Amino acid sequence: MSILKKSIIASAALALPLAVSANSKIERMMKDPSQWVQQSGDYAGHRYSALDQINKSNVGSLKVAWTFSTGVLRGHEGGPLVIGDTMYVHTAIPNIVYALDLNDNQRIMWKYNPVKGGKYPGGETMDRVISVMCCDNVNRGVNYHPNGTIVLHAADTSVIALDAKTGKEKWVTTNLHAGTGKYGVSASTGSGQPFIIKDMVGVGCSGAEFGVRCNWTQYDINSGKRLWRAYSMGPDKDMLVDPNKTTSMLKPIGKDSSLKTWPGDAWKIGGGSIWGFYGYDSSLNTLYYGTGNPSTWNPVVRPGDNKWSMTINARNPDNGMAKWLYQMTPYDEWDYDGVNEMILVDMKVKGKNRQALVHFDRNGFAYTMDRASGELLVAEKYDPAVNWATHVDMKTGRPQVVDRYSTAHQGEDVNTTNICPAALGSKDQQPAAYDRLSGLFMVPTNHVCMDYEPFKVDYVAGNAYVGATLSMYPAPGGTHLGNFIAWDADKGKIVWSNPEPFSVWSGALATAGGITFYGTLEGYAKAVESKTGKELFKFKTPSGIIGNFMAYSHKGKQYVGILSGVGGWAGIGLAAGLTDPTAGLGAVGAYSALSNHTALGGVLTVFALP
Amino acid sequence: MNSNFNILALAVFLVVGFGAKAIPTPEAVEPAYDKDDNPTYVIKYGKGDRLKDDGTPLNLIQIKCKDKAVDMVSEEDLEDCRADDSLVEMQYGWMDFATYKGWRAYHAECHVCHGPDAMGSTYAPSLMVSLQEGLSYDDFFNVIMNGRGEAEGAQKGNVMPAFGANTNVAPHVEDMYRYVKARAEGKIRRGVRLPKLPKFKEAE
Repeated sequence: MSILKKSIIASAALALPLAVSANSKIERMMKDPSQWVQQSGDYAGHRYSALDQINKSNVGSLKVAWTFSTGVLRGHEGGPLVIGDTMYVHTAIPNIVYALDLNDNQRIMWKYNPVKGGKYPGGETMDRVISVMCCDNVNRGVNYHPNGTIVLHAADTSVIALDAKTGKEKWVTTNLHAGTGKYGVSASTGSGQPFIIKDMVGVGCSGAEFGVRCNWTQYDINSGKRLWRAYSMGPDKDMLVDPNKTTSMLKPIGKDSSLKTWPGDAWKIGGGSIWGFYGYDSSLNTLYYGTGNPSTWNPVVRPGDNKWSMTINARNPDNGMAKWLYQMTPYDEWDYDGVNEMILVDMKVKGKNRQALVHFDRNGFAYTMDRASGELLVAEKYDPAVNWATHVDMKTGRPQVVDRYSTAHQGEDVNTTNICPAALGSKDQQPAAYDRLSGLFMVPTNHVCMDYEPFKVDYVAGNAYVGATLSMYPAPGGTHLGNFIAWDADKGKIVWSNPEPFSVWSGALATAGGITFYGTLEGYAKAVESKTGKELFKFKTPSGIIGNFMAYSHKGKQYVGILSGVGGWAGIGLAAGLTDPTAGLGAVGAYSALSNHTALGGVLTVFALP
Repeated sequence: MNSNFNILALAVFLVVGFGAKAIPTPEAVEPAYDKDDNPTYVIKYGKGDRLKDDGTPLNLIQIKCKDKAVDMVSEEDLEDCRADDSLVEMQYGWMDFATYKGWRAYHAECHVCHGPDAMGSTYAPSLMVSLQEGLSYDDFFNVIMNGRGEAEGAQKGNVMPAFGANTNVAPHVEDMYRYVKARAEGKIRRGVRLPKLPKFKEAE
């Protein structure tokens, strides 16, 4: 059934006085384009708005309707929610949440700050938590449960349920240790969104650069009680896999599928963080998320496939059991985390109707999979610069690694040069959108390559555990660091590609107006025609954009919102410019330095037609 | 690539010549200290060595524009140097192994906040600039070992963790300082792996 038909049926269902579970209630809310009730807009991760008041013929006259300063510097990822007449806006550390009254000039109805007396609920000081956040203080946003709860996944890993009306805490639980090492455990942090399914909320964890063994943990939304936890690596019972029923490439994974792929007990500090954007299919009752890099970055010390790092997980959200797993980058040698968003689309692939899952991986390949069975359907490069592997073998699902770019093959203390993409991937967490009108995927990408030198490091609990040096620079033959592309997930081909001077680190929004919105690191909010990529609108917001676009309507008027606030990993590398200004005496020159274009500051900008 | 790159390639070609043999790397040197007993770097200058496959010389250590390191000159001076090759000087050489180790430790542990090449990020200061502005070795050492919060003068919301117990950082503070000092004094350029002298071995 087409998505359009589905949504028509769903709208018809709106009129029926049904007794519905929370799950179907939130799915109905997701289909109401006047609201934006989850970070990705819907469970399928489409980031698509059915609103068409702003369209390709009038977007050129778009104006700023209002702005709101978050009062917090540092990187602002994620985006606001709109539930009814209220907007919820989150910030980077300290992770403040604001409720704004859209009926009353965005008056602040309540403000919640999880840091009290300098400490997070888990007991760690804010200073300590900042010091173990890899790559800036970002948070990817709050989510909503229809029992009237806003859930925040704070930087110290605390999961906090707030009354959506008052901002009062309903319950607080700390998921992991943002550790000092004093518990003898690694430092975990929270940056990913809390993900609502039925009457549960699930969270991943960050900290693969600190030797964390990461996991997905599911909580009861009403009580905060822990329901289950599935580790990314380790014994079968820790990972919630069934050796006979859980499959990979359509075959059972067998006993000890993870333990066999790590030397000794290296899996205990194996990484596999989960902090991107997730998907859920209620008809299949399946949760989809990706796991990150194995630690350390030095591959020489962990020979083996390091399962199940770098893996797409399909799980039953009720008990956590894995249905299927697919590892994109076995034995990672480049930090190509598999955490990026899962986009669920019912589409034709090679002439056959499929319940597909589309995933743009850090490793530069875009994967189209059958999300029911886990069958690999398409795996193609979505940036022509990608060179670490020639292709993905469709029989085994394994990438064919090129020795010249293998940091393990080259060995410890050897600088492997000109690897594409760089560690931040052809795309990082910045989520793509699915344009339901054209059937194309709108993908914000990086176009950056690197030199990578692994070396031996010691593991010290609570401290960073990296073990490689990086130098990053633009892909050969160009001076730009990013592209915004349209992707055909059936053919595995780029349809159009717009070069951008910097990595495009903001989430896209496709709309029924035939236009797609995205932001740039210099701070431009842009609208392009979805079919052609033609730029129709741009406006320079107060700071660089690493947040995600969203849309809503209020009193019959369509609005488009975006958080500015430069930072994140992109803000590290680009602040001073990635490029050596001495290379040819400034082939890129001053233009490469982001700090010449923008400065810190969290600000929400909301646009509307005049 | 644009014409500026060709100028560089030409300059390299003139120095190296076609089919030239690799220039032997000079001998190892001991980790150095200055007259105040603070750690410092050693550079041995030499001729330009053969090309890497991407066209850059192996041991191009700094490019100077009007006698100053090119990442420290003004945009106006850069324009002048782009227009007039005679204002440009290529320097070839090798850093001592200790400084190289500092580069490596920096780019493993520090650059995730302080940026590549000690250039800073959107939220952590450029250590190259901090040294230019007078950060002493003692202060450098203390901040790394003990950390620094808002109370100790860090910018609001910015925190420097304590690395005193981190065995990947604490033993390398001297070498990191050597590297950052060489950057601060304009001796080595950005974005490249450092050409290094062999590891120094204590005499038996």
